[in-house]
Amino acid sequence: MLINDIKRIVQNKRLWAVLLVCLAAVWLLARGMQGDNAEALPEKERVAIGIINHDTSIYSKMITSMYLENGLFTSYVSIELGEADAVYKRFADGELDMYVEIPEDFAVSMESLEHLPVQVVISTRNTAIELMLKNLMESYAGFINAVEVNCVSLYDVMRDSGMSREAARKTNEKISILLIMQALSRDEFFKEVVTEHESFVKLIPFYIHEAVFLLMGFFALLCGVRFQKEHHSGIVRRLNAVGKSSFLILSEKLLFLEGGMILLLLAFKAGMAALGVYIPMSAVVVMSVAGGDLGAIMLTFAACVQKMQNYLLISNMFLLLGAVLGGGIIPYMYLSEHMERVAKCLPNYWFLKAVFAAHAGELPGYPGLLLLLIFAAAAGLLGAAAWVYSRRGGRVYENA
Amino acid sequence: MKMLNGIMTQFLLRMKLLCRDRMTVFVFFLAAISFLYGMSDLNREAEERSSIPIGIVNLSDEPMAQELTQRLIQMPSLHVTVGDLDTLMARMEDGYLRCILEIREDYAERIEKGKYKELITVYHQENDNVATVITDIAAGEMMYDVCLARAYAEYEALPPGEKEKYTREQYEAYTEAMRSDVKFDFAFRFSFVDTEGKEQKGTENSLFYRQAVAATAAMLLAMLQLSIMAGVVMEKEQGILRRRRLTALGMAAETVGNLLGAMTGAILLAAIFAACACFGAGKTEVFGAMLWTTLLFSIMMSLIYFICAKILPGLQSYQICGTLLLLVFGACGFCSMVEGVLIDEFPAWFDYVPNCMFLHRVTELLT
Repeated sequence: MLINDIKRIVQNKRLWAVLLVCLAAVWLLARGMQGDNAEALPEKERVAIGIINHDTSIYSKMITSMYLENGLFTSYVSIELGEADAVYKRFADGELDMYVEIPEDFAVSMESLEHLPVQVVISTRNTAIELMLKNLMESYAGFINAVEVNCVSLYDVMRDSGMSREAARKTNEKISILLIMQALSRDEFFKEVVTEHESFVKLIPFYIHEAVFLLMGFFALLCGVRFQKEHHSGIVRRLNAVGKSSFLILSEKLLFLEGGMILLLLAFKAGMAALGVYIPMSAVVVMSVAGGDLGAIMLTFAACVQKMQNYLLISNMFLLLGAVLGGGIIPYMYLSEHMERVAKCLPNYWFLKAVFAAHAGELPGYPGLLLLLIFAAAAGLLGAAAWVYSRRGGRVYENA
Repeated sequence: MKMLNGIMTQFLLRMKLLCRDRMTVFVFFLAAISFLYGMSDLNREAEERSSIPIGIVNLSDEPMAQELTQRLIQMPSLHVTVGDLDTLMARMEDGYLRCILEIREDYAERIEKGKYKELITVYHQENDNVATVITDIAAGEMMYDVCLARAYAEYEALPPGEKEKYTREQYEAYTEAMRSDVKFDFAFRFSFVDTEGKEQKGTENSLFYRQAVAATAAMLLAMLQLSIMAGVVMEKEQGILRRRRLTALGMAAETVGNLLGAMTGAILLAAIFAACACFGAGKTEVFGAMLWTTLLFSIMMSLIYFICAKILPGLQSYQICGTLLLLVFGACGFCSMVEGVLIDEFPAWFDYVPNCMFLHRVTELLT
């Protein structure tokens, strides 16, 4: 049976073409996503901001410096200080994503507590950029508040303590500059520790592994389709009649699928190595075990369900709904606690957890017993499926 | 009239095939329940999950450090987990946290002494720019304490006779009173302008998460259509369609009847999605438009899968092609969310991918 299946797959040119397309798609996806995100973008690709500064005070300098001296901004955002008309025109032409307009006498108005509004105009052309800019601007308002409150209270306290207006104003000017300088050198508040750990779950590897899981799932689904076809054409019943048990037939299908998947996974590992991405052997083992489990589940569906259309509906829903609820489409770390509890009941979640543990070299910590248990569960499922199949009776050609 | 009869016959046949099969009904029911659970939970938690998840380790028991922690917890743009470094580090390794802020034990003491260097240790992954944004947000909250200490130091440095009136506590109390005064509530004045220069309402932070939920729902709806249209391939394989042609069933009637059937099959899931998305975002008034958009998307996908069913030779190739389309369209949908941020502009054909069109319209309705 196994040799027959191998012969058939080797001779199926269409299937090979599809497999090559799938592998090429995964490879291209990985290659496209491999670029280093931290690199500064070319000027024309950055988010563009214009600043119109009608005020020449230190307060307005603080606002402009927040952009010009921020490493994040200078690598991802191009900033332009310009005349009002030129900035308005560039914004209207869609060349700028945002502009900030600091009014004349902004600093004087702050001292007298009559806030002249700093106008921030954001384009809604791109929602993601709009949200990013709005959030950053809101966080910068906190800096201005802190400086303003403390400058004004010091001035009041000094006046209340009997200091002359002129002396208080001079001291206040001095402290204003000090506080603003402090705000601009905010980076010194922090000590950065970059933690380099192999196990960090990043989004791009996350989705590459999820794509591998889904592809394995669809190969397993096709294996089930093959069993259904053989069932409907009477091949399985004829094999039963010559003494081959249903369990044996299902096991052969699983073995065949597992062998094919291991070859594909090794090709995937080699392809990724060509891109400079190392995939440890333990991760390949996890993937092949998951592939085997998916095969067992799909074959169980194929054996238990009479109609091909039902089988397709159930298996497709199992895969995609399983990926959604199992934290594969919206990553499990972004799910709510309730949803994560549900995710823990699904193979997709455990596949992702185990594969990232394997990447971190923590898999030996997961006892090999666990893998054996998964295999045993797969075999148990097949046994149950075979029993259901043999009890189901002889309807073969009808209701296909 | 004959055409209408043909459409109705094909539609009723498709519906009977779907509804009379107990297994199909059961799977639909189960899928609808799971879909309802997933969509309602994802939309309900959208606000919270849209914040940046960070961890805080507070090594200090001084009130100033406790207050800073509280202020950061209350920030709507952050989702804060407080704990010890080992636990939080494990969560960051698992991707649950973007960075960890560790407040040193002598935080307040150092600020009072005018030592501002390395008050907080930030643990983050390599090349993660989000940490820069988070430190800016945290610095905004720390600035008040730093400025207060600096201004008081200046007050203390005044010559005798000009600094005796206020003790430190009195000075702090006065500044705190000023801080809570609405006059000091500085904020930028935001306006949001669309491509035509018209002023718009700003977008909520949760929109990004809601878009991800919509992109997921689009994949599930497409999957449903893939499964429904598999029936057409099977009928073709078994020769049923050829036989039905003998009954003078026209191609147009067959197509429209099948599409109507597929749309009816998708109504329940579309209604669940539209209700969860609109109620979750507090936009009940766009429920009708959202439902219509979702149904149109379902029809579009069913037409694509119907064409696949017609041109592909068998079930196996249909399943492979359908799955590839589903994954490619789904990936395009997700990528279109980050266009201009993580990915530069996509080629023009991207706009015609059904998932991108669907997501674009959903975004319009939710904003």
